[in-house]
Amino acid sequence: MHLVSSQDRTADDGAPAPDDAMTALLQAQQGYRAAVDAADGVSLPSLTDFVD
Amino acid sequence: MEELAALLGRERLLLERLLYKLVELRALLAAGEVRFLPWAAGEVDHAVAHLREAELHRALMVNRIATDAGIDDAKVSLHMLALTSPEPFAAIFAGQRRTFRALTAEVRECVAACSAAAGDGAHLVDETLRRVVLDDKSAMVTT
Repeated sequence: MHLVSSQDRTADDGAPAPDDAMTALLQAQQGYRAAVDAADGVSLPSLTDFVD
Repeated sequence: MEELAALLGRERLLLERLLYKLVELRALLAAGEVRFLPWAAGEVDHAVAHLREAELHRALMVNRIATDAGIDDAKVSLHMLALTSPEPFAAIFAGQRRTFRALTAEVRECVAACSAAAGDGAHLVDETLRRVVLDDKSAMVTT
């Protein structure tokens, strides 16, 4: 999982800056939740009934 | 019949497009490309909305066909149309039915994979955030 990219690292010590790491985590949380909601929103009962 | 076959052809394309968007979402989840997940999720929602419109048009047309034939529209299925329509529509409907069944199975499979991967990712991130917040709180207590 790509939570912290090379761009999240500070130039001087190479470690992730705390704020950047938190931003990456929140971005990941938002992304995963959007993906869960999108998958939950896919249902095909009308089509399945008609086809079967 | 010709109009319904054309409408079903369009619905099939929209279903394929939904599958394509789900495959994209699954690939992004597998690659851990979380930045693009909201975009991919939005595209899935969009594809679902287009499919819903096509379903509505098809339901209206099936209702019209059923009314003309004097039967309950709930009894009109693609299977029934494939069995009772004159040629070439019987063959067309039978082919569309096979395609729809294969596509819906693929969509279901892809949705399950996306749901599992996104759920696992969300759980992992939630746990990480929880630990970060707890670490911050304990750091504040000790300082």
